[in-house]
Amino acid sequence: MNSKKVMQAIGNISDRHIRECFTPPVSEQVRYRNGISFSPALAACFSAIMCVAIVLAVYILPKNLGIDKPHIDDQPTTSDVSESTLIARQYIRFDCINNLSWYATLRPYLRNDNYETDLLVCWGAYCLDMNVYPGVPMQFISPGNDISIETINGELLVEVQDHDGNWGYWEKVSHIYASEYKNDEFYFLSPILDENFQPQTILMHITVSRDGNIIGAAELQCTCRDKGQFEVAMSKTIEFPPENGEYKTVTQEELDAFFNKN
Amino acid sequence: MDDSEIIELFFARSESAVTELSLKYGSKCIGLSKRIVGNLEDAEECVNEAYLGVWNAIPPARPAPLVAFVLKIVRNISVNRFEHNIAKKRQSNYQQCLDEFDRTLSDHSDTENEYDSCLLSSYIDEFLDTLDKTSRYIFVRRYWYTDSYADISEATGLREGTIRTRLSRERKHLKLFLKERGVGI
Repeated sequence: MNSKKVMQAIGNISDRHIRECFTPPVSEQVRYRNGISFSPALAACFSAIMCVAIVLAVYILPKNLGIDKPHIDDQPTTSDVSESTLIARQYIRFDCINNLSWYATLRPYLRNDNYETDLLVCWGAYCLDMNVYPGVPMQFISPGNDISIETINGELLVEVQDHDGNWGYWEKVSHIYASEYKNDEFYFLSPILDENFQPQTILMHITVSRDGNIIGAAELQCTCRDKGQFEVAMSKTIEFPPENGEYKTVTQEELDAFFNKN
Repeated sequence: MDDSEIIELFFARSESAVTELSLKYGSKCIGLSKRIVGNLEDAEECVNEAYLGVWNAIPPARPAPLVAFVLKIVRNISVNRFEHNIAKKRQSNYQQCLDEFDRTLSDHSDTENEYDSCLLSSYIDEFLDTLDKTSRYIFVRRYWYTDSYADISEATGLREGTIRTRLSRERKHLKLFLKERGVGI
């Protein structure tokens, strides 16, 4: 075997590896969406400053100033939510389902000049950061089928965060299958880019399951306002906590009823 | 233009298909080819030849992603051109004798060599799966995309020395990986 044969063989590696090399990894170089790059040290400093600023803005200053604002951990309700409270509230939480550290969180994020983060879904050590765009129906199924997200008329833009908290690459996806989960990373199929973005209201159905049993479901109706930004117009959630330490089996009919699918 | 629209143009046998393909991926193709063959003139010829290959392959092929499909063709043609250019330079009788022995002493037929190459590619795919994302990116950019250390350094934010060290380690890992599977380098 010689180098020529190896180079020839490298020329025929799988398309997913070739495609991956078009997007630089961000694990060792923090990239922001506006294209500016920071060194890891500078990024860490920036992050620390941002954290302090957020803590000051959300917790300390309002209390000192006597401003009564909804608490960030307010549980979602099944009622319509006014636009002014949308940013500060978490819409879906399934934290501490049992004594394991597993959790799922879905919440809209405030957009600012540096971030266009809209939804953050976490389970275990993984987080998916998603932007939703109008377009064809989309579906997301996480590894192990423990989170399933379906947008009725939107697309998903997903970023993966690994165990070390490094953000992975951005991809618009149509479907992600559990089988594509390998070596702590995801392989995406058929990215669809919608360059003619138009404001549109989308509906997302989310189910979270553990050990094959559904433990919670949610519906979000989101209105896109700008590329990479949307606001939640309505949300409702339902949880199916374990009984006597065991999860209930939720039937498809119960889920359909929750989602008003007939 | 969207990839799917370009593919539809190929299916419609429209000459603008190649134009659109060139507009969208031409610079990538030329860059890749130039890094392999070493000069712009040959690179442009290789890329044009690759466009012809794409024209012949689509239809029936409907590649997704299109860019990987095109670049693969560009790379293969460019590697052939590179080897052809090297062979032209090796005109000494001594080198010709070596080449003749290489052909005669090879244990494998072309078919077997082709099979070995496919098997080796699948092993390399497996090997790439074992790497973390950054290492894989560096490896593929260097050995598939034939990028320079400086370019990889710019893309990853890592120093060139770090990239050289990583690649050296990855090559050793690859050697071990292949050896475990009965492939000796």
